[in-house]
Amino acid sequence: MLRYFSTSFLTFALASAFLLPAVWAQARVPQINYRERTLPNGLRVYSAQEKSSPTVAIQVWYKVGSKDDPEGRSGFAHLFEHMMFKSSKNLRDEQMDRLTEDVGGFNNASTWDDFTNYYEVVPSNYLETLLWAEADRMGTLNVDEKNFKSERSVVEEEFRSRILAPPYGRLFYAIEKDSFAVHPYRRPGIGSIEELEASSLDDVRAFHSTYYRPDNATLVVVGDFDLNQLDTWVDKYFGRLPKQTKPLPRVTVKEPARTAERRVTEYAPNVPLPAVAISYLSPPVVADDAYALRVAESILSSGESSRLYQSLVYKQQIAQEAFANADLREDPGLFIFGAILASEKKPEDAERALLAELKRMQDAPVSAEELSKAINQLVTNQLRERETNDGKAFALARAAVLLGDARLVNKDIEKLQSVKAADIQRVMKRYFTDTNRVVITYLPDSMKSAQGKTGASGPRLSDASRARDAKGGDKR
Amino acid sequence: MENQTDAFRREPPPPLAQRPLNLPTPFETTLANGLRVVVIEQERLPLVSYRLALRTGDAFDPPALPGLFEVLTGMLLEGTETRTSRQIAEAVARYGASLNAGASSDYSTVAASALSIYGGEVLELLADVALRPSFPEDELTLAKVNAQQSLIAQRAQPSFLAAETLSRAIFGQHPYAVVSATHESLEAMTREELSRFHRSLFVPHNAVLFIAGDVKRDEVLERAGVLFGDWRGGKAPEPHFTNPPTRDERVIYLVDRPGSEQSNIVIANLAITRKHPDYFPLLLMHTVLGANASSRLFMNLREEKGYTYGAYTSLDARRFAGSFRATAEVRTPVTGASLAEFFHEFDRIRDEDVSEKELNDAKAYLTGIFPIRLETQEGLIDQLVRLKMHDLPDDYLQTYRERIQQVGNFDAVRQAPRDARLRARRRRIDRQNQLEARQRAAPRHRSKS
Repeated sequence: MLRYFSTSFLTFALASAFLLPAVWAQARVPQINYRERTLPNGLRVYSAQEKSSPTVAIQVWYKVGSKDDPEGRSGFAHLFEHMMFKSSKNLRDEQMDRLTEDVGGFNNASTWDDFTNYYEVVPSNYLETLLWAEADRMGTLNVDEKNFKSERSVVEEEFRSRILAPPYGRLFYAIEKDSFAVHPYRRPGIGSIEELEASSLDDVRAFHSTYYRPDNATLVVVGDFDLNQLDTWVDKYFGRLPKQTKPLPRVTVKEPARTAERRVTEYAPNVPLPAVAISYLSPPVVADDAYALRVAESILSSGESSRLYQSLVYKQQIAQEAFANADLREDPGLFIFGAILASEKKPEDAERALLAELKRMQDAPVSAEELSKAINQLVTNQLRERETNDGKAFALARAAVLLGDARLVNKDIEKLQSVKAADIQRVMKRYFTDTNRVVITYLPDSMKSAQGKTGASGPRLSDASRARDAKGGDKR
Repeated sequence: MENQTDAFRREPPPPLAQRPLNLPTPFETTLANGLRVVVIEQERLPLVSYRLALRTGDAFDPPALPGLFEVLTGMLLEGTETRTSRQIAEAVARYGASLNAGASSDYSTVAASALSIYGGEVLELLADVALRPSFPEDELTLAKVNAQQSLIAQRAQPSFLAAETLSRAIFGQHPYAVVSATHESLEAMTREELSRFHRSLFVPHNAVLFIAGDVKRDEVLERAGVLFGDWRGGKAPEPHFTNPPTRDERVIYLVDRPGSEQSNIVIANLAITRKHPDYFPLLLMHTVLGANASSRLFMNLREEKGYTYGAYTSLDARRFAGSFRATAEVRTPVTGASLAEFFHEFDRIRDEDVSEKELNDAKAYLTGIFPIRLETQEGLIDQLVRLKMHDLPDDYLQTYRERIQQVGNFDAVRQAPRDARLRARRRRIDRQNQLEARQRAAPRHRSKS
């Protein structure tokens, strides 16, 4: 494939766009020029100036996620994230909203499997105010019983509305629970009512002092600001937070390779049509194969011209909806396929059709047109995200914290662009094997007696899922 | 931690002075056929966004065919002289692009965006759907079925029923009175009618093409010349709209919707056009009174009284007329009490000074949200479209924040809802009248991405 990075590229691309088949061209990817600092207390700081808009994005990422939920406290990292919007020593309850929304900006936070991030966007003349606020809640947290209980109820409602109320909420719980044997990823990120109820104010304090410390945090600032002022303010507000010496607890459990296909049947109430989900254990997000898997995901499931839609929904009409999801994580994660059945269709038909599509991807390379379409869509999405300071900050923080190397922010898109059809075929053969498969059949409760007691029981109030959107468990 | 006792940590540090808005200067030219082209070169990312905006919208629907414009813009993406609906969708997917069309009451737009390496192809696609739609019979049938369905769904919504009655009351014989298609008008729309309408209103004199992103001005203008230069058409007809009625007393309309859990309250009056000199003072008054969750109505009706999930105002300033509305969905038993609070807030903002702090907070909000909205190409084009469609001054974006800052307390107060003092008179609309009322689907956006 042709790739251009020179400045004369623009002229060439515009001219060539009308002469050459466009599918062969590749977009130039601008670099994010960032600075990196580490404070004596261990806080890592990444900053990038972007003068095109007088706004600034501030993000603080903590290397603690749902996989770090304490034993018997599944859902705790997410509950804790909500507590960070209560008061700290100098910050009133919900003052973060006032500091952002009242000046036209916004803020939020999300809890992921491997990290938790807090983020704000404000006009850039308010940068110091937000650094003050983020440092205050990193250093101290004032929580009381009343605050804690009311927020716990909010999270329990979130659990009910995300997991129990939607007909397929419990399916996404089941995928996670049934797909991991020993790794803490098997526990629901949103937790369970019982384990949330069992948590206490002491747990909140312990979690803050264990994980919310400068050497476990990364601050990212992107926007229109003065670099020297930023350094001064970072030293002033974050630099004086004490260095911690206790070792940080880390998940060391390794999920073993799967050795045989596993089949599970789950039942849930109010399921209008059965569903089938198939999961494969995938490599970690930093693996080179991750790029080919992301392109494969797009070819299989992005839009109405995707393979799963064309085959299962449009031609065979086995499913009303079909999906593929490369759920890649710090430790080995999942590649998930699934379908919600069309009326009168059988789960085994959908399973057969899904597996046939996988086999097609293994037996022959994808066409040049399909590859180009998928890469165009992925690259466009990535670049659109980088139009905003918030999106740039997210990309930079993701590379620094999740991928463990900030430099990857400037290689990620090019690596997607360089994926070849042969790479996709190779990863499809490598990971999508018969022994690496978990098949989950998701049926309405009403089919329970007819089907007999097979497989695991469906999740009840004690079991929950993390039916998360792309950005994880948002605060609201 | 002991260090947290540092005195400097007690209060949030104050903001610095606002930093300048470094907006790229748009280049503007007019093609021989009258099409205006606005180009903003922005090379920071290899992306380009296009928008063709026409000064024609739902207000131009023929009186007998409400909803025609909405159906027309949706149908642009469903087939051209050389492409089927499916071919259009496939081309959009192949380039990783987006393409959509939509209409509001004053103007309509066809928008596309893509990686700049596909800028040429995607502009050609935009030109094809905008200039040469074929309105295929089968696609039209499908679009009409979908529109009928969504009309049924809309009519089940209390907010739709309230907006329908209110728009009629406020705008009278002015076309803004109409908020949706009717089952009859949808039934009556034909391919021929759509084509005829498209020919007479989609004309270059009436349009502005916006191009923002990673482009070279000369090259993209040449390309625009090739794709749009042959576009022909006469002048679009000048609108002759009946003025909205003037009002000299308070009128109450009741729309009966049996079984409702809540009352939808909408209190409104005729207000100003988008170009009116009082726009900025009114915008500040609206921000203090009801624009967001820190405004007075929200603080009173939700935070203090707990009558509702939210109470807001809206400033609906359009090209030919406008309205100012205050709304809330409240528990039925507190309907009267809620009305009392609304009128209390109207009296208060009219009769008393707004505190310096409230005014400054409102200014901070409005001047703060503005650059955040402009961060993306699409956000920038949104603002430029508004500017051109409403004939606002060229320095409008650059000076927006100053215009906000210049509004004084007296100016903001002067804009308080004048309707509040009028004597009340009740008028009941029974269910039958309401069902016979004119119906028209709310503006909807069709897209392919």
